[in-house]
Amino acid sequence: MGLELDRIQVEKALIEEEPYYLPVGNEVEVFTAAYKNRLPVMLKGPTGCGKTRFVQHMAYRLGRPLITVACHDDLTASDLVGRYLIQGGDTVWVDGPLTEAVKLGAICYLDEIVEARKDTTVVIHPLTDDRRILPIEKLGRVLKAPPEFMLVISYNPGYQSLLKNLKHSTRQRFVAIEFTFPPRRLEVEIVAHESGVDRATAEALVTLGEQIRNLTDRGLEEPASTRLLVYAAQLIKTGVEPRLACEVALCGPIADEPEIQRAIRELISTVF
Amino acid sequence: MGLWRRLAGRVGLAIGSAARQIRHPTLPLRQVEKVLTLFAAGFSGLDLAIKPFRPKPGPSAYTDTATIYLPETVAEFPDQGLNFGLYKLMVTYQCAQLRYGTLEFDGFFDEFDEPELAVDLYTILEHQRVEARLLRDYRGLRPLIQACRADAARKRPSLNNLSPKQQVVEALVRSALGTDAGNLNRAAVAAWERARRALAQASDPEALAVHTQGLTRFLYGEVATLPGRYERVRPVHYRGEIRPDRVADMRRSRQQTVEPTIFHIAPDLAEFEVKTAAHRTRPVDHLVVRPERVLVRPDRRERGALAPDASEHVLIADLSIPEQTSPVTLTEADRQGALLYPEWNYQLQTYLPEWCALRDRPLPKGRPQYVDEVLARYHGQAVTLRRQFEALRQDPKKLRRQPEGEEVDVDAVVEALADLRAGLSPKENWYATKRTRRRDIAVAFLVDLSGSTGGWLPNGRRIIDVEKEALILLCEALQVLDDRYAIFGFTSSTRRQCDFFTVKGFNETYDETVKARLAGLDTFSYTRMGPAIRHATRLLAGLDAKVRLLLLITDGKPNDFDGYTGAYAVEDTRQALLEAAQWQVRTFCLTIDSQARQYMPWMFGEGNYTVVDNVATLPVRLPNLYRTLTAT
Ligand SMILES: Nc1ncnc2c1ncn2[C@@H]1O[C@H](COP(=O)(O)OP(=O)(O)O)[C@@H](O)[C@H]1O
Ligand SMILES: [Mg+2]
Repeated sequence: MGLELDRIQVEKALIEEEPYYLPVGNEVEVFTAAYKNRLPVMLKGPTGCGKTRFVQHMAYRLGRPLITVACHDDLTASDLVGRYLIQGGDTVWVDGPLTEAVKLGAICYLDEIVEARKDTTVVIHPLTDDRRILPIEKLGRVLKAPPEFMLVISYNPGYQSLLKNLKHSTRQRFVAIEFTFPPRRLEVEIVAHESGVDRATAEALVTLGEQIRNLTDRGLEEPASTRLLVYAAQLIKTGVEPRLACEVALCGPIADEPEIQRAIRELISTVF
Repeated sequence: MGLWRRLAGRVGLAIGSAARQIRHPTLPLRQVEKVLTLFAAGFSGLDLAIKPFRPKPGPSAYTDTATIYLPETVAEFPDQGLNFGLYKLMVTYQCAQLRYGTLEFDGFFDEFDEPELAVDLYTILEHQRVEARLLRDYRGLRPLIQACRADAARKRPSLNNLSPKQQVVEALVRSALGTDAGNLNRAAVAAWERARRALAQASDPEALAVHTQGLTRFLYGEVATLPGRYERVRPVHYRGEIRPDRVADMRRSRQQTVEPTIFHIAPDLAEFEVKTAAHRTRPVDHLVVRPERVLVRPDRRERGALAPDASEHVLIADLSIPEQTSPVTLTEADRQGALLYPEWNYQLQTYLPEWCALRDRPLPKGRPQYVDEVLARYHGQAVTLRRQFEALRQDPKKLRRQPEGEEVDVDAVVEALADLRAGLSPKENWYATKRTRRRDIAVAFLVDLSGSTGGWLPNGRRIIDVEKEALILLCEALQVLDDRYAIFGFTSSTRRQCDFFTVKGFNETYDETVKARLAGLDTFSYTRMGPAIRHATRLLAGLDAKVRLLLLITDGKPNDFDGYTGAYAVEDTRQALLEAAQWQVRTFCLTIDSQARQYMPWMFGEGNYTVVDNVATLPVRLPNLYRTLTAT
């Protein structure tokens, strides 16, 4: 790959093995219906609650390749669409991930879209209305997206910076599926499945997760996610002492204030 | 006073002074109150305060369901870690009582002639159930429970000088603590046998509080018939007490203050279904009727009434337009030296022009040492905040694709070259620069100085004091950024007198003058939010900045005593905020009103407000909120 593409994180895959995903509500049906109707989808929810896993799962189910772009504040429209590169004295056009997805009829997942630079919306908008087109300015071409192409973005509406909120004109182009942390029973199953720990340990971890989430409005800005519970479980599974595993996975990553940290540690030493 | 009591009293004293001779280190509640409050919130998921009390005769704890009362100090163990552990366990048991239904005994104790005996029996049996459940579900607690149980067992009085009635109950406690019951009086032996069996039955983690009530009834029948009056046994320190009177008081006062929430609204707007815990008819104020959200506020009496039904109420509301707020125009004196702002009348759906007279008022100067004292108290937090704010500033990301800069952006040049070769004219943004991106933010903090902020907090300070501390920590942290900011205060006494205070203007620096004004901030009267928001908006709108933010800090709803209440006030405030949006001013509210979730979504908009439940954390929460809101 050229120099250019190294600076954006793109994952491309035709997913061959079914990614494990436990549905929490009717998100599978909604997503499928959106796909059939060629509607773009926005996955809303806090980090670590299963959005990425869900898209992988859906790409597998629908039999489409998945192209994922982790957006960052330097991501420009040409990063998405493509650009000319010089290779051995020749100029070569290299498609960006979005163009590639359109051509392949893939699912294109723009993760954390608010992070991207504003000009990226210019290329996203025409793809999200009924025109479903991608203008490639530099090539003087307009690509029409095939029916299989689908645009999916993720958006964390939690505490957001006012400096980078998703514009209403952008938001209103998507069907929104809300994600929250799975209910207890399901979360226990997910944690157990993802880590291989026994049920009792998974139960205890989810109890702890719920208790830490109770502190969310009291100085914890981000709740303890399912992902972090899975991390803790994986550490425990590999033999890390449970209290230590919880401390490094469930206290350090989310709490800075010493009092909150102390309270979380006390919760940990209650459960484990 | 009976012989038993006198003897027991003397024995108790002897035990007490013996214990006092072993001087254990003292852990004051003050030191651990914050951690325990957070722990209680996390463990129970409930909003519980923690307050000190002076238990007699020994350390104990109880809850009225809103507050957990703990001893002012704990000095039971030579090891401070264990002393903290005892506090933690006290909190855990009180929370567990709330979670496991222990305090759901509506009137249960009324059926007994000796309610104290019934309460003691219920407490012992019920705590046994709670403990069985905690031991099963929280294995981390096991060593701590064992340590505290052993300590509590050691400190139980002997049975020797107790009446038979007391002997059975005391033996029950001893046995619950895993220690030998002791020698009982012949008269008490039969009852004790039954008590022991009841205790075994109670120790079932699957059992419910109603089962314990059944056991209590049975056991009471056995024990109450023994001779003598019943004198209460000492509580077990880590398990604490059950105080039915306090629980009932709290339940009553909750019923009086509950605000009904409307769940269903009939299409013709004539009927509302209201859900409330209140068991009585209560007057309901006007209603704000919107397609999706309805607010009901019981602060005015004329319109609407709740049917006296148990849990589901039907509210019949009169939606006719009420009389206007005072129709008199402002007098010449009212207008003197004032800025006049309009007000939104939602019933008429129109602006009332030149309705409010707003004046800039000077602030009294406070003690010059005040700011330093606050900083000393919050030294650790201030340092952390400063570091966190520095991270915002330093944001060392390279800005790429700039028209000029100190570095060539290789990517951009390669792309331009490629474009050239491909016959396109490239964009000339070939440079990269390390300059920190200008944040270009202007923010006004608008602080509610109404009388209600003079309210006292459990920690003995006033809301306004905590607000002042929050502002000081904010100013200190903001010193590392070059965001333009101003701090304003506001209050009102009718529309004739809306006062606006400048603590720090946009062009002022955070210096001695500003510090003195911060120190001097105090509470005034009412909260007419509309004109204050409109004025702050004008001030912000005049500034050239990419982002203009108005951050309101308040403790409650807008209100003033000339009819500016309920829906009228909420609607005017909402209108002022909509105006702000038109002026390109973003608005956000930080409130400490625990009821705020009922009206904030409508007034400020979902996601544009945050509720700080634990006011004591405000000094850290405010700067952190600002940091999150303006993260780049
Ligand atoms: N419903 C779910 N089914 C299966 N795994 C889940 C589910 N929700 C969360 N997870 C687990 O949580 C982890 C984090 O989820 P992820 O999709 O990466 O979160 P997000 O994209 O929302 O930040 C996943 O790797 C997976 O282990
Ligand atoms: Mg007020």
